[in-house]
Amino acid sequence: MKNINDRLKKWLLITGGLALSVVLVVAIMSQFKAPTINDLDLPEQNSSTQKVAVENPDITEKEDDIKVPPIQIQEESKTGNGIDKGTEQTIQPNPIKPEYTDEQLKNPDQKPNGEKVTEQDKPIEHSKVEKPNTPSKSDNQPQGGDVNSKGETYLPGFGWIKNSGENQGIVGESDGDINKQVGIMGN
Amino acid sequence: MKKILTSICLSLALICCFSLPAFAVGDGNIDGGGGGMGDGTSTNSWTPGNDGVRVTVVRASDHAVVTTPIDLTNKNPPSTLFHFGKVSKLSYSNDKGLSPQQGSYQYINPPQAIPRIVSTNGSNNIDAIKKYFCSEYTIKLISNHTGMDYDVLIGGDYKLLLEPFAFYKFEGVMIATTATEAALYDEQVSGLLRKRMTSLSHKNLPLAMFLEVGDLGYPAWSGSKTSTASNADIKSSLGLGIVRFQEQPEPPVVSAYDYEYRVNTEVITSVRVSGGQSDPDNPTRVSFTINGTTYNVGNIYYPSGDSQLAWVKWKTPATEQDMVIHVSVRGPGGTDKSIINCKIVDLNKNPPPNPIADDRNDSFQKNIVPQRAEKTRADWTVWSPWWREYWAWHGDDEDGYWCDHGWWEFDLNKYHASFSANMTIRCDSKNPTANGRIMKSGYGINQEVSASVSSNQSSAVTNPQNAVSYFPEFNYDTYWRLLEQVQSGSSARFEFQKNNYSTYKNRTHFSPVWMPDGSYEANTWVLDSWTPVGMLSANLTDSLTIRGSLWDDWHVAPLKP
Repeated sequence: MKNINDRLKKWLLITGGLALSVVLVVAIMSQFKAPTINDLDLPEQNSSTQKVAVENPDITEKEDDIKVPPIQIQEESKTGNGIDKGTEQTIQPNPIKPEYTDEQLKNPDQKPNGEKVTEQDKPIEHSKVEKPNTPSKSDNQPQGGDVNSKGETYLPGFGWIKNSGENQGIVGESDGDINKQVGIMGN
Repeated sequence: MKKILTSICLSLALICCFSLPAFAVGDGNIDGGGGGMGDGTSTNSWTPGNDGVRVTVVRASDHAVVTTPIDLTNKNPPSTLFHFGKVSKLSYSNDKGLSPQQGSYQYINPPQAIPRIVSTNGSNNIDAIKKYFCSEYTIKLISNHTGMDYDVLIGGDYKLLLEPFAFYKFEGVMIATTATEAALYDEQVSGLLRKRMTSLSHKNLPLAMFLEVGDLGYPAWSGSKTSTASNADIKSSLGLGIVRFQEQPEPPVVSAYDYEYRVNTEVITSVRVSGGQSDPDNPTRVSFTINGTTYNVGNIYYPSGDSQLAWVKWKTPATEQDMVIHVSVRGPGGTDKSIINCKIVDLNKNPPPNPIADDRNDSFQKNIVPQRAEKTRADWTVWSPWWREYWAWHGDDEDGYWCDHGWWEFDLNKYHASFSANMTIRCDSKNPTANGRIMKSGYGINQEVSASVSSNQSSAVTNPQNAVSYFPEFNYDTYWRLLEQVQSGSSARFEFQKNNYSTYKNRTHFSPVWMPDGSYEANTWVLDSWTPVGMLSANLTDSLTIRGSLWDDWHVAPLKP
């Protein structure tokens, strides 16, 4: 009986240990599970966030906002603003010198700036190119002294001006002595 | 080398052919004893003798123009002539703009001919000009045609401002300009007049007359008497003579410093750069060393023969001091100054003392509000370079390429700033007996000042930053109050600082209890809006009426038993 009891004790210990292990494993595994109940409280917030994220109009507005800076820069360059902060300042925007690609520079059918090639544009050696005395005049641009249909005359820098009539010249009058000095000029 | 030799040979041939010195850019219109001074084309030319003098009577005390200017000339210009009316250099100096017209040009031919005004060879005819315009004959002629009494004219209170003018053909039109008008017109056409007519418009015309001693606010000319002048120099110093009728010209204004700034203020300091041509391929840069910090300023460009203002924006220190700014230049240009003297002042050091009820001033007499520097508009220009392409094809079709033989051209961009300010004083809110704009002496006043500046080049302007108030009880002088800026920006607002002597620490100024009945006029100077051409400011006034005194609101009565 004593032997049976010992064997029984042994099996009971093994069985109890195994049962305890299973309980512990289940308990430990349960700790690694993702929370579920609390998450259920969030759907409303999540869904509203998702709505904002997918609404097309909102995205469009943001894209418009992003486009604003270049427009401002253009306005600044129009107004001639320089850099007025810090130790590196400028009195006006940087001047721009146009740049062209190799393809544009090697196209014999068209000048790099898009102008048409004329008969005057004959090949010429680099050292023989001379700067023209006066820039070519535009046919559409009125020249000084041009008279329009209203009889107005073109004054460079101001435009069309109407003649207001004959000059009024008179002969001066004086009975003073040209050899008598009454005024002082200089020291 | 071959080209240089050819040029020299051609030049020698021209010199041999014509007797007139070659101050002209070209030679096309030199004939019959005259000499063209334009570019030698039929569209740009001047015939010597086509000149005259504009005469303006000016009051010596305040430089006011008192008669309409008259033009004296020996010639009869055609009615197709363009001109800018009868406007004197003084008016242009006060920011009047050009107003072109054609025809209806009024002029006077003196029977006694005027000596040659504008020379053709750089040597001006100043002795003959002096003798002619100082003569009784000419002064009487001017008196007759301006309507100014001769005895009053020569009495010493007035002066004659003389300005040489010429009429010439520019870009195909006949035009009459004084030297100042030529400089202004050159700016209008972005330097084209200088390009076409430089010997006349920017040399012989402005150098025909200049001052030996400063007068009427214009300085004596100490620059070159033989080379072309910049538009800035012409406008400030050239193309004028002055006839006076007392021995001494007005005493020169001597200033120990170039700028006076306030502490803790954003300001602009500028210098004029000239010499050679400054363009993006060969730029001029100016460095300002201020209080140990070096500010480098770039994008300063101008065509050959002209000039450009360069400026730096910086903040003044917090303490009063005299300061020296060192200026250095890299590139083709030079500056008119290498050292700039600045005086930094603190206006917050002289507020009125604590007013007390027993103050008396039986001998008080009201003074008029003094004049202070005022400038509500500033104009400046910036030369802006742009690349004119000039394409040439080098080589064959297959192996060839386009080569840009272009050059920098310049546009003259015009900028301006406009300044406006307004002040209002009113009875203090704690005044128990104020009635609208009437109050008893001894009570306080509040003030609101608004100032705004607008510009088409905001980077070249600083906002209004300071305002200071003066009061009649201190003769608008002894004590003053620096106002506090309660709103910054281009539209700024100012009020009194909180008064330590006020029970409620109000923003108030107490009128003295002895102030007699009548108008109580406060004066506020709004200042420190800076531009490249100086400070914008306004001198303002506003008044309340004093009737009775604070003592009237108190009475003595026996205590109830």
